[in-house]
Amino acid sequence: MRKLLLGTTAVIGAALLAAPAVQAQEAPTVRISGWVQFDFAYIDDRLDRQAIGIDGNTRRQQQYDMRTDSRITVRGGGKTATGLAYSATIVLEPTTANVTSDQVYITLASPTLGTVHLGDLRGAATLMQVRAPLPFGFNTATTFYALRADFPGNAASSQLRDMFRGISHANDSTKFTYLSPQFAGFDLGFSFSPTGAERSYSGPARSVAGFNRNQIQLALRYRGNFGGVGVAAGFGMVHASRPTGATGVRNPDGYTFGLNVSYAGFRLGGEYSFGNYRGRDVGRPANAVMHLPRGNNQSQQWIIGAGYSFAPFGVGIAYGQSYQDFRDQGVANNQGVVRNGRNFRMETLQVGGTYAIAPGLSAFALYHYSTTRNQPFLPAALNGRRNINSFIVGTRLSF
Amino acid sequence: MDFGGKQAMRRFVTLGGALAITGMLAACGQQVRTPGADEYNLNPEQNEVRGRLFGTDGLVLFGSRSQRDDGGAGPGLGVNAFLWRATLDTLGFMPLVSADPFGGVIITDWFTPADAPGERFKANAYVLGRQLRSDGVRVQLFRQVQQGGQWVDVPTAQRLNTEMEDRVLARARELRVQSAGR
Repeated sequence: MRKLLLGTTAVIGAALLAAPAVQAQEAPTVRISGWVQFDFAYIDDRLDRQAIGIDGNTRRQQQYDMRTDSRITVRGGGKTATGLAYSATIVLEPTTANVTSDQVYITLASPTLGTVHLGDLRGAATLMQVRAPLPFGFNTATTFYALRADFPGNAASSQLRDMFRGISHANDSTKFTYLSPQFAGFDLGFSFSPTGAERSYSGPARSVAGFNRNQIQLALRYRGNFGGVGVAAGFGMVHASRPTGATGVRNPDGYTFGLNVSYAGFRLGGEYSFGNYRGRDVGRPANAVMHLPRGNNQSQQWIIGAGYSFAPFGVGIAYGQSYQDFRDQGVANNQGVVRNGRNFRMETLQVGGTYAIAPGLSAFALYHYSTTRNQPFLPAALNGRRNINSFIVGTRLSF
Repeated sequence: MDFGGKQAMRRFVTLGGALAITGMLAACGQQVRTPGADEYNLNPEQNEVRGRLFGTDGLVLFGSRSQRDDGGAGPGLGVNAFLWRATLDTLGFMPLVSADPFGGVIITDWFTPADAPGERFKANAYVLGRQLRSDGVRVQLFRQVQQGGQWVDVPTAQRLNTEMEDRVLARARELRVQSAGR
């Protein structure tokens, strides 16, 4: 009996130890997916009550509007018997005029050596950022409704929106990205982009005007579970050289820290970012005029958020503040009013919920509130203050 | 803190090298895994998507969707690919005499465990179909012990066969999860 037990243990043990890491090979496939979103927004903006509205005309703005947005993703790829997954991805963005490519990249992923992205997509700091829990549509609200371009033609003013987006958010410049495997809960990321331009290499890339150069992104992330309590913490940074020919401005950079705790459907967390940038997208001025001039204070922002999921429902709330220095913008707006934007501050509060109607089909609602102090470019009557209330309801179908 | 192209390239190479080494070192450990695409903010707009009409990966235009739908009846195989590979993985520590991927039969040679030199085992495994099912594999172990210089057949416990089948099924599940996670 003892021998039988010994033999049993031995052969099972040998089977356990000898199992090599062989993967299931997959033939190449081409897949298409995407989503379409429709939403309706009601906006109450203090600026709209002025004689001069957002577009500079003497009429009030429409207070409600509808919008559609969509993406189509085409991905082709397969997997070798050694486990190397390979794919090419093209994300298409339909517009009223044509269809543009939002992201284009090749991905190579090894089960143990990590992932390499080659092409136009977000960098490591964005991909791995641990953000505060945000309600569905948080970015939609701040992007499309909250602070619309105040005065067309004023490039700096048009950037005073999206103030709470993530680090280097919309940066799809052509880049190399390496994302390490996860080990003991930790993983790392690194990106390099020579010119900051998308679809680059067409012409003398080194002198692409208006684009940041030699952008580096780094990210470190930890995710773990302690007795059912999930913890995620992250650090990310982006650094670049200012565009060729740009003078009197600092090299753009940004740093972000984030922490999330989750338990039984609850999520609670926050993020803090700072750096030499201005306008939207922490650490990545999208517009040449938004590079932080020398002598101005660094920008910073923080967000705290909480969420709870009880399928098919999900609810969330987030509050944030953003500080930026516009002391150099002592320029006249289109009314000839000069306003010093030093210590510009924006606060936002958003509360939202979602409901999953069917697989791929969900509905959402979001209340959004923003207020600003010392905002440059506003009519004098507002004294740099602006309050916005908006309510958005919508639906999204993903296929 | 301005730096030119050469300096940036040096940083690029240094940082890239450091991360690659980190990755390789990490790969030596036992708990290394490459995070799936859904663990990154690939497109913040798309991250807000909850479920899809055509499953997690969308609609297949070209290539074999049936590979997923039937649980992996791979090309060139007459039986389920996950079960077949899992059986090979599990019995791979024993010398193989025959492996027929169309009939789903794997026959091993005699194998003597290092810590039990007085006995040896042989296994026949049968992958029974194209579906990834818990009853889709049968393993029959044979055991002999040495008595007076001769190998003598000894009956094996049914529990041993079941345990080997469980190992195969667990491995097949791993392969299926890894495949689905890409």
